[in-house]
Amino acid sequence: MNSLSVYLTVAAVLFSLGLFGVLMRRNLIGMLISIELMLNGANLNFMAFNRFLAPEPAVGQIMALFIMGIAAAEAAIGLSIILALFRRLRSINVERAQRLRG
Amino acid sequence: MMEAAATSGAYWLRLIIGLVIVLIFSQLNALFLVWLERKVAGHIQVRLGPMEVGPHGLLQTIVDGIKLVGKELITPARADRILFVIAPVLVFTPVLVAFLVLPFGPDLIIRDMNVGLLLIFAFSTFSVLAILVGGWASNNKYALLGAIRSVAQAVAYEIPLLLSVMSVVLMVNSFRFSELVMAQQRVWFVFLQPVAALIYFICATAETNRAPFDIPEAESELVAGFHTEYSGMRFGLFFLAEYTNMFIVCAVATSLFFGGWHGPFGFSFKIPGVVWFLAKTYVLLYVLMWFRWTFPRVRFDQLMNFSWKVLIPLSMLNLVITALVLKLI
Amino acid sequence: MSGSFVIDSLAHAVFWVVVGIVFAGAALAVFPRNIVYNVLGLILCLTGVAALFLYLGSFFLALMQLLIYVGAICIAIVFAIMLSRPLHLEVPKRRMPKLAAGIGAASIFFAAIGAVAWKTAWKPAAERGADWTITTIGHLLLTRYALVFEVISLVLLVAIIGAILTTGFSRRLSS
Repeated sequence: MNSLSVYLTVAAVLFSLGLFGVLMRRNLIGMLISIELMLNGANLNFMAFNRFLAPEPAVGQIMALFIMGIAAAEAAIGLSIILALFRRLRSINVERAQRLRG
Repeated sequence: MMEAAATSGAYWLRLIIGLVIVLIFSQLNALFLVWLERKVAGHIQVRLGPMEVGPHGLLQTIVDGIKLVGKELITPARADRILFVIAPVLVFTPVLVAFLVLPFGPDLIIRDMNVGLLLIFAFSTFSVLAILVGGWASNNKYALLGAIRSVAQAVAYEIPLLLSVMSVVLMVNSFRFSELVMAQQRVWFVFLQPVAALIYFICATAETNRAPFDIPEAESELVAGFHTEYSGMRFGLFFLAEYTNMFIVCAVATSLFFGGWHGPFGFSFKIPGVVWFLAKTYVLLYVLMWFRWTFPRVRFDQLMNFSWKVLIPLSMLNLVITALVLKLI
Repeated sequence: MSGSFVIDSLAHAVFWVVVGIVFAGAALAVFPRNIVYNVLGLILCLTGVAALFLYLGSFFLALMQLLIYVGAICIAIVFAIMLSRPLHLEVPKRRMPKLAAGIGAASIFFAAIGAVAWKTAWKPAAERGADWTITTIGHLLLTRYALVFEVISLVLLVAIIGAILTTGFSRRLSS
């Protein structure tokens, strides 16, 4: 609990699980969920470095807030794209969306 | 933060006693509110309400509770069993956490956290989630529709709620409940920020799914909304959580806008602060119940329009004006 | 002081429980095929991460994580699930080569990151400030890191406009 490497390991596991999810899943929303896991792993990394190494505690927290804001923006756009795709294809299986022509 | 915990025995004893008292208080309060609601409803409708059990029907809720406990717990056939059972438990968690930071009196805050106000709003999202889980796990179209509408409503009204609260926080420069109440020693904030108080109260009504915003659980719409399939004590848990939620929301309104534990203009007339606090909270609760039997139910699209097109611009304007006034004066 | 020892070991035990919750939530978010279980697993994981932020010293960021991630993003994901009804999605078999490649890629990545994390001698900065208050965060956001503040506002604005336009277009196309 008081060592940096524990937090870095947890963050690495989160990121790897997210990466595995993005590679394996065919459901578009499932991919989005895995991407959120990866972002959280990165966030945890920033906060861990902020606690143990940073000269100023506020810097890491600002960075973490920034990442949360980016994740919110990305989830909003991603979900609206998924819904638009669903309306066209009636399915959110990513393998149905293979044609590049509109 | 963890290393700063005090280790004295008195500190822990106070924490544990505070937690026990708060737990008992929240249950008694919910029972009392159910009785109060029925009495208020009765008197507004020119009838008496429960009168049989106990003096003026005071023990009616307890008897009803016993009846509810004795009812059969029906789980629908293809419902998701784990989620179906978890939902009523999950809806209670934010309620109990919020009691930790409420300022009942000058020395009667269990943990006066630096970000106490934010804690209440952060944990209220769990009750929204619990409604969604309960509605989905019931495997019932009407329950799911009721749950979706409830979540849409909660999300839409959460924004002007937070914005109006931010106007007050801007004035006091702190999220701490004790400082928010101490700043109202001379003048209550309802006189300095009437728009914010009004917006907060409307949004609080919508957040707790009370009339006139009670589409998700109304008896005449969608069977019974998201708790259609819940019977017995599970339904009782949803019910109790709703009333305790009402209390918390009114308690926050008292602390933020109506002076908390102070008497009017700082004169307390030797009455202890906790009595003032509870009196004001119960008056606000009475007003909340009054709304239910006065206004007709708002249609869902009217509800959403009102939030997104009226309340959010108004609360943003209020925030900007507050910031300008604070900066220039 | 024995009291302090009890508190510390209790905090330590709870820390490992929280880490278990994070891993369980992440596993629930990735492995099952039922999308609703995935979202609930994500919510569990994010709540665990919020508790870890608490252990890392920032109560404010833990609450922000709950408010933003659990309260907004996860609810938006649940909304998208309800609106697109993938509950009866076809469940094709997992092909072995794809599974092996996925596991291989993830484990190679984990090994690489782990090696960097454990082998490096991390040096704390020379002068470490002790100011964790949110007043400082707010002050810094408006003075020294004002660009961060402005950029994130711009990104969110663009995202809102984009989301409205995307759903607006598709409704016109499909009607």
